[in-house]
Amino acid sequence: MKLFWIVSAVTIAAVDRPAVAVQPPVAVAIQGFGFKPRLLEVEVGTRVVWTNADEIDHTVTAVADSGVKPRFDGDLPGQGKTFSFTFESPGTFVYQCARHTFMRGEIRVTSKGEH
Amino acid sequence: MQPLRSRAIALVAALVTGVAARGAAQSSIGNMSMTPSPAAISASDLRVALNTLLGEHIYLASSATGAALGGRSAEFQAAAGALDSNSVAIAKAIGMIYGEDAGTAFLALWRKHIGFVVDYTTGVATKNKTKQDKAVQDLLGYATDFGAFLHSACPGLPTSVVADLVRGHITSLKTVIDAQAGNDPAVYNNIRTAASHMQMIADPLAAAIAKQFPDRFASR
Repeated sequence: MKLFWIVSAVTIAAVDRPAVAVQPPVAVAIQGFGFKPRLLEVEVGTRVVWTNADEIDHTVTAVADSGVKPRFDGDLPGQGKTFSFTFESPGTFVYQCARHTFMRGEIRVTSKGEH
Repeated sequence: MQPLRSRAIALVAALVTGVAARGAAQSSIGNMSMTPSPAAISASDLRVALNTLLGEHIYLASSATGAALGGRSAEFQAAAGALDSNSVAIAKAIGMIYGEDAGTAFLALWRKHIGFVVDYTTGVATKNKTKQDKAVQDLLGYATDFGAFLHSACPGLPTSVVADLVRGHITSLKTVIDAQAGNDPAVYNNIRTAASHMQMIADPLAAAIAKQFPDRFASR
């Protein structure tokens, strides 16, 4: 009987939950002084998680026009450190490591269903 | 006879691609006797190739800094161009072993240290101590970056060990530049010392790569 109530409660909770299409996070590795993958295409609302696999400090810094604050700027001070950012609007976002500016990546964010 | 750099690159190409490139390597290295075989190729050939390229780096870098400090512009341009060709060749070798992305990252990183050496040389030429000190700090910081890069590609090479070796490279090259600026005849011995130091980088690098890819580099 107890099991019945538990199952029922779980079922009701699942049915009552609003239908929000949450995108699973997408991983980008920073390895060998490069972003892998270098080019990533995701849908709006996706959280991208960068993980530093190098034994050195890197950053994930959006490339911005001079004088404009970068849209995102994360420090990953050492191996295993992570930074995440959720892309809420469509567009192409170029980023780099501020310490090693030759390291560049790009996130293309598409509208839902366009991907 | 092909120039050393071409020989080294052909050799590395052969080492990496194995049997397919064997014929090309044989034609490029003249009298070196290598019997075609489907087996992995020699780790010692890799060591020779890296030693050649890294030794060349010193001779060309010191030619460039000597010309710059002596105000010989055309000579500097020529030496700097050859030095960059050497950088590209080293990066190609890395790219052939670890992939194109690694080669590209290596080249950017390698050129960065050359830029810092240029900064130091400019600081010496203009007697600008602040610029010299900044360049030295940049170079010392770079050593750790370079160590981390090689460690990422080849986990058998600890970051701190590579960084120490690179600091040795920087120090020995700085000694050359200082001697050039002071017209000190010791510069030629300093250049030899700096060049022989590169063996301390090339040898463990070759050994670690060979250990990492035993199927490509036989231990003979």
